[in-house]
Amino acid sequence: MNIGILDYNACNISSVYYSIYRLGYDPKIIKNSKELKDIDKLIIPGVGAAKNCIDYLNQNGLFNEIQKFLASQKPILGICMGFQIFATNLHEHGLSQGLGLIDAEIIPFKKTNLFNIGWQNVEINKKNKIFRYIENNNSFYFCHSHYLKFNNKKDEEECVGISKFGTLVPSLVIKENFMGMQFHPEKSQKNGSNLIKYFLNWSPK
Amino acid sequence: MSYLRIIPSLLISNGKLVKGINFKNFKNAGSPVTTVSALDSQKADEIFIVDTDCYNKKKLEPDYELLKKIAEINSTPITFGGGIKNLIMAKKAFSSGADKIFLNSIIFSDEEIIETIALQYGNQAVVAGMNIINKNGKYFLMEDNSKAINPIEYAKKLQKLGAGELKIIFVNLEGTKKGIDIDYSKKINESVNIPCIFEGGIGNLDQLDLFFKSGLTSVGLGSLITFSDNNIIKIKQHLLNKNFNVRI
Amino acid sequence: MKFCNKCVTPETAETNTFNNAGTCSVCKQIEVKSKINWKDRAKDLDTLIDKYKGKSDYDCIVPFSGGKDSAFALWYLVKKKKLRPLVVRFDHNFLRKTIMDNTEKTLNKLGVDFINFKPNWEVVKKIMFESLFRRGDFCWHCHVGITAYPINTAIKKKIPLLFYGEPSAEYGSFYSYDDIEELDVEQFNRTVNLGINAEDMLEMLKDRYPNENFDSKVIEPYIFPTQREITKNGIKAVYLGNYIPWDVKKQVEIIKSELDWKGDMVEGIPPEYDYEKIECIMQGVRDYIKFIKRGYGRTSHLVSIDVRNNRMTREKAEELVKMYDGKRPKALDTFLKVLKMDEDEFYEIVEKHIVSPQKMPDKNLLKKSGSNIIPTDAVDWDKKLI
Repeated sequence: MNIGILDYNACNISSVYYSIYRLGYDPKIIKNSKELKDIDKLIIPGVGAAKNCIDYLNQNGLFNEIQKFLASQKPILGICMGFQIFATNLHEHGLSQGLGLIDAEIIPFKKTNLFNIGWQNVEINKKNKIFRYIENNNSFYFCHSHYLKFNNKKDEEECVGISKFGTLVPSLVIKENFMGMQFHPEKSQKNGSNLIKYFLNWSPK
Repeated sequence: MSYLRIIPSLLISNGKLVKGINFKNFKNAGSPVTTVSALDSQKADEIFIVDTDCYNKKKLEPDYELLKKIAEINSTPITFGGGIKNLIMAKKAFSSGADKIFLNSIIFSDEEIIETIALQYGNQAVVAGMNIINKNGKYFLMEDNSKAINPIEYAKKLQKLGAGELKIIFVNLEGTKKGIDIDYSKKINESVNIPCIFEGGIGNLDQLDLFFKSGLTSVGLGSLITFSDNNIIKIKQHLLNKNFNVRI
Repeated sequence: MKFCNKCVTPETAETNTFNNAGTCSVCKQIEVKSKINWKDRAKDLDTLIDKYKGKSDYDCIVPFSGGKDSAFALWYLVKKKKLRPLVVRFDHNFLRKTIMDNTEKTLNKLGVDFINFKPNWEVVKKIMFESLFRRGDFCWHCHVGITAYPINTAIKKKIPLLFYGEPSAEYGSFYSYDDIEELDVEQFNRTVNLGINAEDMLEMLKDRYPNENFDSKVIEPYIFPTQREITKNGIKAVYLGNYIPWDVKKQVEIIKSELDWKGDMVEGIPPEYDYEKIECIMQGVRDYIKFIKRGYGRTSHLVSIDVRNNRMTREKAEELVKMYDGKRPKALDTFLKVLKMDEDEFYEIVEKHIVSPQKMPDKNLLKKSGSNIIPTDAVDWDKKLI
């Protein structure tokens, strides 16, 4: 299995790379569109600012490539920023357009607590099949200033994992062949590596 | 609700772990890579690593190679710093294994550095530092020769400049095990809307209890870990027994 | 100092926490033990064995000390599961005569291949001192060696399945019964190496003995593989006690009758526990140090297990604790000679590692507390080690 990790110039690439490496794999670091063709599973990390990230992806043709990869039905894992870019609009340093797979807005936390940095429990939706495979209410590491707000109730109800930081924070979203995590599984110790293992064994139907 | 954060603070010099007292008198405390591995397994909440050689200008760049070796075996969030002064150095740090970076003295001469790095990596990835000295009840910043800057005002300024978090070190308490300055920590914490990590002086578990009882949530630990039998497991079991909201 | 209201373990025990009722976490987790579906676990064991049997030169590795747990595990895997194991022993150099005799008989009666590794004694002595100094526990070379050596052997010889014995949930709250424990880097760092890796130990030795020119070869037996090495080599290191209900008394009966396994007298515990910790000459010193540091010794540990399993009343437990815990062992004489240390220096070092709220016991009382009953092989200890 060829695993690709997208390096879009603003991410903690080493942390993500080694989290896969420790599980016994040798992932490829993807810097341009050509390198995507042999990849079976794509991971998009994220330690970034929305506008800078989306501009970079657009300027380098990577936005289109990600859309193509998505259409190919091959699994994608988006982490933090890499998760948020799949929403409709991102409101950070201005307004940017995301890939629109998830009908949602990425908006900032309120003034009294600007940043969600630390560990929180993520509650897993009992109706989703992942509930059988991973433990409920495990803690994961969050580090973000903006969060996802669904535009419709149905998506909200189907959200796979949720945590709280003042407001409800959708933390694990699965849509078709996309799995998105607001937290950082590569930095969530054993809970995180188990979830990454789940993604690496995941066959979206 | 977020869990309390226990954050071991590691100083490195020449590829080795050192423990400084008041930023001087370094003593070799072991191997950084295996120490991080142990802390990772013991479920430290985050780990702070500062390259003192670069911080003290003995070297031009921090030890990125060591950071990579650490990244290879570690799954706990790392904040890395020590002499980072521009976007290129920050980029190298993120590429080598940092999840957040730490800026301190550079902010005095280049206030825009925080926002420059934040524009690319996000504000939450930048931790700004404050080295506080308490002389006879008067507080000032270690790097401020004039002693005129009010640290609490400076904290507010750092937030305005875009820092995602603050790391406050009580320099004259560091390594003394006399206990941390809880009152002043609370003052700083209440003056900003961003998370604050406090460090300096905690030498036993009772002092740690007092810190968390006061409502503060994130602590940096130095000597309590490096030079005693206390490990993260023991510390967290102790806190759990006292009903603190720690993650184990 | 708080004690569990059910067993007699105090709050200084490493992983125990107390609930609001005052019962310790290990007592609480024993309640889970009876809820485990052991039929399912037995099936899991067979599935596991099927996966690995016959695929390598040996079906599995059994890390062996000759004590009751590894002896039973070996017997069970050979006789009940018909496996062909490679038996591997890391020899800490403190093996007593009875255990060596037991080992000979076990290996002969079961018909298995056996590898023994004994590290450089001069280096071990230095590691013992360093470990005592840094952690108030001189057994680092043993904890780490008996864990790392079999796994490194597994990787070298491509025998990925390893069976360790008892589940640690029997006496500590690192893991619960729900978990099927596996030995990996996290487990190693959390429960085995006192937070000190081989590379750390090397740096510490280089610091203390700068003229010895120690290099990494010296700590090779103690290096634990990386998580990637474990995953890539498909290493599966499990604990038999997670798959079958662990009943020490029953198991000791079995090995006594099937393998002619003999018990031995151990310092610091009632003679009826002649099956516990009989492997190590220094066991008494180890438990003595624990008593000084934490206020309880091996007797507390053992009677607590009995109380938890409803085999003893708390009153009887307290009585035995008073009689046996904290008495100066004969082995301390040999220990001090081995490390070229005097007794006051020993107490000074241990005192630095006392776990709050325990206070340092009176040294003079400690020195005079020795029992008149000493193990019969004690006459050989100096000869073997000095």
